[in-house]
Amino acid sequence: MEKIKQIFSSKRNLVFTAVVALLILIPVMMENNIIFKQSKYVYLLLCLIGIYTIATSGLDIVFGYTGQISFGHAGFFCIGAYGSVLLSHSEWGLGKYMGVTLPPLASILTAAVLAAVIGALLAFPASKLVFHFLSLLTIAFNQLMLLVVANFAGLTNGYVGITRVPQISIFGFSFNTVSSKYNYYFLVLFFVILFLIIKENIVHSRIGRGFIAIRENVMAANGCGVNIKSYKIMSFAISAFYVGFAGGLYAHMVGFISPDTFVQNTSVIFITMLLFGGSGNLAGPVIGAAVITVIQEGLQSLSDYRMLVYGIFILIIILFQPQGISGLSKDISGFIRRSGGGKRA
Amino acid sequence: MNMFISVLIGGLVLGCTYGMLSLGYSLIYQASGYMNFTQPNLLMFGAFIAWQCLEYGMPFPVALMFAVIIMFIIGWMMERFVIRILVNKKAKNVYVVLTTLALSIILENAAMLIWDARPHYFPAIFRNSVMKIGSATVSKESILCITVAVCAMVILQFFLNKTKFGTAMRAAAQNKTAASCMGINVNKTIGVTYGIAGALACLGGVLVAPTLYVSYQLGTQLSAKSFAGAVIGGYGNIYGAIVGAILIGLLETFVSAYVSSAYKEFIVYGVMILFMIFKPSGIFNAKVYEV
Repeated sequence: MEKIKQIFSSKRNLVFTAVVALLILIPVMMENNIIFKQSKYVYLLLCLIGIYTIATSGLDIVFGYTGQISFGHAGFFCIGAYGSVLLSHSEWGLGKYMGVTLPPLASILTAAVLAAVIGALLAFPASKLVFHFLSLLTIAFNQLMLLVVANFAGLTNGYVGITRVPQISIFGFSFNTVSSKYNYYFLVLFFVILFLIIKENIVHSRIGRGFIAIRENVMAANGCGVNIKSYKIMSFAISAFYVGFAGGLYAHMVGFISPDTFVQNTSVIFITMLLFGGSGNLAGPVIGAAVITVIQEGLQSLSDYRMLVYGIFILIIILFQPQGISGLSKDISGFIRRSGGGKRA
Repeated sequence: MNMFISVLIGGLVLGCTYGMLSLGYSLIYQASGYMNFTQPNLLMFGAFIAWQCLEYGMPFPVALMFAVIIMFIIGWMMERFVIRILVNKKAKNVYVVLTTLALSIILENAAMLIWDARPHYFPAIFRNSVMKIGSATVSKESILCITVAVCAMVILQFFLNKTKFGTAMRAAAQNKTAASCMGINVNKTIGVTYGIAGALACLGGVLVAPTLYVSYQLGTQLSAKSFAGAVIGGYGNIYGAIVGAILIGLLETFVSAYVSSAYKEFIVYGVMILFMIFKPSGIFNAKVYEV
């Protein structure tokens, strides 16, 4: 009881709990027609936001905490999605050549581990490079992943893509996105919360402090005994695990994957989400993922003009925010704090 | 032998186009320390402007000049009204990179909306467009492309090293504070650098357009490989950009002619990644390592 009181005494935890409670309540409200009139589309959108939250949180570990740029995280997303599908699909990959398949959740986990290994391999050269060259290397990595996926048609069906991806089920309880409305939403919500808690614990551990030290000053960090190379490799591996997992969840939700999903633009969208929400904190990726996803979906109705408006939108936000995009969220939180900060003064 | 010559010419054409782009990257990187991802889409936009001018019935040299001047102005405006504002606000590096990405998204989609999504056939520049070297037949457009590219590079070299403004540009690239103390308008030189980069990209676009089709995806098609060229040569080094880009162009065409066109992309990106891992400073030793 004392412990629970302690948890709720902090304002931060209270906000966290309130948000989770609200997210659990959304389906209940939707079932009773209080908001959104229970459409499947809204669930799909919420799931997408959740998946992008996991991916952006992963990117945040590399970018926000370790201070390394990456424009190639769609490559890890790709590894996660294709890896999981190839391990679990009965007509492709493992099912085609060996005749055995993994259950979808196990396959997602395996694919995420694979992404982490590849992330660590990528970090070996990347740990030495400065900002611009790192972004070039990650772009090249993304392109290479795309080429592999698009050109080995025997393995991945090329640009046609793989359809009928198996749905996730645990002990016969199906998380089908077609037949049941909100099961998948709760699954994604569970993983979002899990991954955010893991992230919060990582960044407040010794490893996380090492990451932050590297971000602030590489030379000083080195002097304090932080092994720069191994910490950067760790950061990339953890980040790749997050993004790979998100990719797996995405593939099993949509039920169809093709190389078009994992182009360079997707990496840019991840970075945009992170910068919009604010990097280096817990809530930033959530806000960024939610806002950018909703904006993108809202722009769908503009069809051909969609990307043009999106580009102009990014440009305007960057230009008129002194701190770049994340200044917006800082301004808002500063405003809220100022308006409610009378007690502290 | 015939095949060798035509493949060689094809490779040089591609290499020169990549060279125009990677020259732009290197110039801008040297002058301002930022990476400019807009470059390939400036190329595409320039090619479209020239195509439009030809549609209006202008002769080719006039259309070329017109497009180059317009792209110079667009490049300059990009620096003046977007990037300089960010730099003055002391925005982080990543915001500048993201801005150039946003600009390239805007350019690409604007081109798609203005000139629709289908590829456009660029009219032939010469009436009788085939000529013979030895016994091999090559198109005159390819020769023109290579000649103009080489001329542009020589003129650029002359401009940077022999003229007063070029010297000022190099001084500003080396040390902004010292250069401004010597009475050099650093903002102006950086602006002109962006303009020159835009003009070079446009030149490359117009010259490669008869060989490839002009479509709104032309920039995306060329972007990654011109980056690979700049990296292999040594990012930020002007000679490196040209050498690396021509190497990439030759590699691509020779692999697709003699090995298999399915593997050409793999080999180009593979070479780029190998360079990144083992010699990120490229052939001309650019400064890439941390500390």
